[in-house]
Amino acid sequence: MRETALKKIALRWIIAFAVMSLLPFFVPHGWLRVLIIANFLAIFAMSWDIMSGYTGYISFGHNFLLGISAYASVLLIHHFDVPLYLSMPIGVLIAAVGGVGFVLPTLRVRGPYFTLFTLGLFILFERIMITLGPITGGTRGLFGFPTVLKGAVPNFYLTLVLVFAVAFALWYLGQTDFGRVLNAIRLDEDVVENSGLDTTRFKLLSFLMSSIAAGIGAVFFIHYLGALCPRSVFAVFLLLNIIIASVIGGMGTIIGPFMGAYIITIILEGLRAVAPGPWRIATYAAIGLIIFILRPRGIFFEIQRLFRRRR
Amino acid sequence: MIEEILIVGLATSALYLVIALGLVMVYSVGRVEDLSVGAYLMVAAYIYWFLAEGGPYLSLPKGAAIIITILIGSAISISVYRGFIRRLLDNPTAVFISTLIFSLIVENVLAGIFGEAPRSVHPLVYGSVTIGGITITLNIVIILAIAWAITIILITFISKSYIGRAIRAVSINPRGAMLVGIDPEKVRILTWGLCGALSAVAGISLATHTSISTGMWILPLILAFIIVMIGGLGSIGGAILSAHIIGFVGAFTMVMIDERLRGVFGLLLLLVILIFRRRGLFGRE
Repeated sequence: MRETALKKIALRWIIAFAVMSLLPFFVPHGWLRVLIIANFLAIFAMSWDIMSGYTGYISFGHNFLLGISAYASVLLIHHFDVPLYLSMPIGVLIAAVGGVGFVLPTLRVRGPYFTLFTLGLFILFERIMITLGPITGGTRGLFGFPTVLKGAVPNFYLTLVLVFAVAFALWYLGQTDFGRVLNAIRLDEDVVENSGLDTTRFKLLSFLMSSIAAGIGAVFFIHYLGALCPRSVFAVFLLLNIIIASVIGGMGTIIGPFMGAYIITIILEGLRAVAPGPWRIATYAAIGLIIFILRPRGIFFEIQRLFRRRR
Repeated sequence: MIEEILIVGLATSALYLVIALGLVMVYSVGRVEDLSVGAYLMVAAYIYWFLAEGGPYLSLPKGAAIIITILIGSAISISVYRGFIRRLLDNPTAVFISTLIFSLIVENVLAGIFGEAPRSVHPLVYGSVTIGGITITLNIVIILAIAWAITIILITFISKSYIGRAIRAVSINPRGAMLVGIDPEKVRILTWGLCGALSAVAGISLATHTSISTGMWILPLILAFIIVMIGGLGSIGGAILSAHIIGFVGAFTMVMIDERLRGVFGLLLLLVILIFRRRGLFGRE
């Protein structure tokens, strides 16, 4: 029984990967670049989900994790001529350190205090990066550093492998007992603590996984763009995209945020023709808000329920 | 130098205090954080500018423009509360996220209507005065006076009036308040309206002090949020104290170090205070 269920799930992952790897044959090149960005957004959203969606510690500081790893990698290349294959792992490592740093406040504070703490770190770091103009390029940023691959199709396959690797790893983590404990922490941390589990260790591991995934996404993202400025990693809009993708897909499901990232990217691109400029963002945010209010558990949950009912 | 820090510090503290008071009251009756206060503030700033300076047909006298703006401000905050916050009251996380998304909508709607370029707004009053050797604009003096008048009126209102006592009752125990015949829902609507009005006043003050732009909601929101957190959620006295800490630290940074670092030391202070006192200075454990 369990064996067949596992086979079924593995089959679903393989089918999903296969279907998506066929996309470059059907989609025009312009759309491929959109899908590449969707893949990165999916990585960011899923990494946010394993931290905030599972444990309930809502972080508004995900950009901080993205920012430190992206800046670390680019600054190492720019100032010390470190090769790409070294600078990128170091960037991920720095993100992991930052993620562990997020655990420290949770020893003391919860709820809105934690959220403000993370938001504070994010804004603080943005300001510092802007003020350190001579080193970081200030608001103009840095450019002209190497990219991992060139061209839309190779980059699409690179991001597809990345996004599926991250998705499968985090999803599997969520299915284990570890994921169940994280869910329990969200529901009532004190109860988990009182039943003899060291919640700090679980949070540590969850935040570590989150920041490593975010760091991997960020360094590949920045070496796909080939240019780094505060706006590319520290934009409030990026933070909102990560959160909207996660909540409309369904927090605490990993697959939900994956789907959410694709949905909001398609909405944003689809609106490009209909609503110009700011109206596009306003419409998109309004759609996101309405979905969130009407279906707070997310689209993935609704799809699951639909299938369950049919059976 | 010191005089400048003093004046700028006092004025900005008072301005942010007004926004923070709205957040404090909303938290105490709803137990949620409304992150749209920045949006209320920004809408009010644009509406005031539109009413008072929006072309040949719409140049209302400033007093009328202010009153209409405040009314619209509370109408918006009440509609946001009735529209979706009310459904999510049992889930503070959802309120957090939805009000933030709402702010994004407001920002882009305003950018769509009025354009993304910042616009300058005339001061409420022209002229300047010289106090102790430095010259300050009368506008700052007026803003300071209005902010303090509102704070004092609000505190008196909450501690003395019947409605204010109802607000306190709901903040202490909604069920108990219901038992003595107070409708918590009505109190919440009223409080959200007050919060919108306070944000509107802050928005008008901020607009006439500097300028208006579609990004102006973020910094006041973060600062007000920090003030509320440092002071302790739901504590008015704490908010007054922390508003002045944040205001003076900000003014000191601006005058003495670097204008771009405004806010950085306030944030550092927040991180330090939260580590040592996790419910803020005056928060209830």
